[in-house]
Amino acid sequence: MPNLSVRHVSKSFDNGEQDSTLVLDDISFEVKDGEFLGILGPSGCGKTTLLKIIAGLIEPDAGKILIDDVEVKMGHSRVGYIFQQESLFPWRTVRKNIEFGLEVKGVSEEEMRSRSDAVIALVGMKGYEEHLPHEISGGQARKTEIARSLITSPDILVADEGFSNLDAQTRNHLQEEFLRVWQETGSTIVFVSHNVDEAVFMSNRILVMSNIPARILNEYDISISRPRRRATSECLAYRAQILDILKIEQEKAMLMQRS
Amino acid sequence: MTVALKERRSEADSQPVRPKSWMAKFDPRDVVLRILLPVIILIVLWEVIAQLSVSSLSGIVESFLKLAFEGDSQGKLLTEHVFSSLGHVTLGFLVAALTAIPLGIMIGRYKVVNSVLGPVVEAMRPIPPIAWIPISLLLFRDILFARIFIIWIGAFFPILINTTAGVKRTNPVHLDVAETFGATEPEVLTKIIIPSAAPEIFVGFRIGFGIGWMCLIAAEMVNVNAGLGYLVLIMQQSGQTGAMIAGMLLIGLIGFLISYLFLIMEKRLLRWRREISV
Repeated sequence: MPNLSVRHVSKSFDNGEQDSTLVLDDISFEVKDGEFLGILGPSGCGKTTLLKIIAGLIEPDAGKILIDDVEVKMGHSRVGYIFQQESLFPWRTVRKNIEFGLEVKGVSEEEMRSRSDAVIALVGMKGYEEHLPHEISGGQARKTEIARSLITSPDILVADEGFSNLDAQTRNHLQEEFLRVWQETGSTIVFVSHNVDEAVFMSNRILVMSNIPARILNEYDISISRPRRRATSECLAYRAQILDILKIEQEKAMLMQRS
Repeated sequence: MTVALKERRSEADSQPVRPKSWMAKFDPRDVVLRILLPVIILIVLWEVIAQLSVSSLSGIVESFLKLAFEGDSQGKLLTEHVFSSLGHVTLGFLVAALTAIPLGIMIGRYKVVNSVLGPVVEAMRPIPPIAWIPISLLLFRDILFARIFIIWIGAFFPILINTTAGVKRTNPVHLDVAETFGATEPEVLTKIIIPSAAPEIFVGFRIGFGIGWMCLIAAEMVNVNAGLGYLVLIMQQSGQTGAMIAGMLLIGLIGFLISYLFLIMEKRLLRWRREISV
């Protein structure tokens, strides 16, 4: 049963005058309930635009988004979003940041408390509830953002290069934490990355996107049993295949720039 | 005002930053540099001014005490003048804050309002507030309203412009976060826009209050019978130079203290900011 369907989505951006750039070119794919989908592609290929369309932050020029077979429109709040850049509200404590979504939905004070306690425990931020964002580390900020997205139990969670600004150790740690959260909550996840290792390590399935105008180049089912280990021959085999495709794509892009 | 720069945080310094105690920050060199030397320079400066205006420092202190306990030529005590001025400036400032903040938010948030009212504000702003004093006397029969109007004119623009700047600087990702949770416009305003613009609004308060205070003193020199501006003018006219200078010093001191009060409030309320320059 598909949880999320992206159907024939296209989007271009105006560059002033009559000129415009086609960013997404007829993108279609489906994500099954509880699936962990990775999307890989070169930088600047429109991955963020795609996620924002899925989350109802941007309107596509053509195509539609369906959640549980029902079309959703701009401004729907069924998708939890983990943004590429740091997005905690600096004036709110960790707990108040996490409770934001419930506050907006008008949930009672007690329920808010018990649900924030639950997600704080889930992401391992116990003891930091009353800290302000500038008092915690980058990795902890990411965990807080994950908790903030999870608290409203969204149908789908999308993550936009969630861990790309962190040092390697923190990133590995967060990847494992994120997988644990996914397994405990059973969420449907769309995880965008430009890091092949990360995508292979985490995803059930990977879509590889081309340079702009972005199309889906290829799809890989990552049939490696979990828990996975990073440097096994299976992981490396997938990694080599995907890197080859991306390399060809990169060369095409270089040629296009030169001409 | 320096804008706090976000340092890159690493796992290593995940220990919460706790403010050091007052004693831990105590440094004798600081006392000399930040308190002792400025005070000496101020005293020397005032001695020079006092000499030039043919009065002496001790004369000023004497006149100050006389004003405080015996009152001026009409028997009005210094406190009466101080409360008159402070009362008016507070009232005018509140009116300015209550009008400038909503308008600043609208201009900063809504493009239509910005394109219509932005030019209006820019056209009115270059008129110095003091130039409004004569017209205020024409517009308002009641002298109280005329004075509050002048303070309002003085404080309004700094608060408005800083509020607008703060609202425009809202981090777009914060707005996106609010949108993914389906926040309504009133929620976006109260939970995102206003808190994130609060530091700039506070800067507006401090500058606006300073200008409002300045305008009030000038307005009091025209057509009134109480207040510190009036006191300074009357003392000059009656040849009591010492008392005049005492009044001036008091005006400066009150302005300084209130600006300091704003800073303390700012530090308390905006604890989330990494750094607020004093």
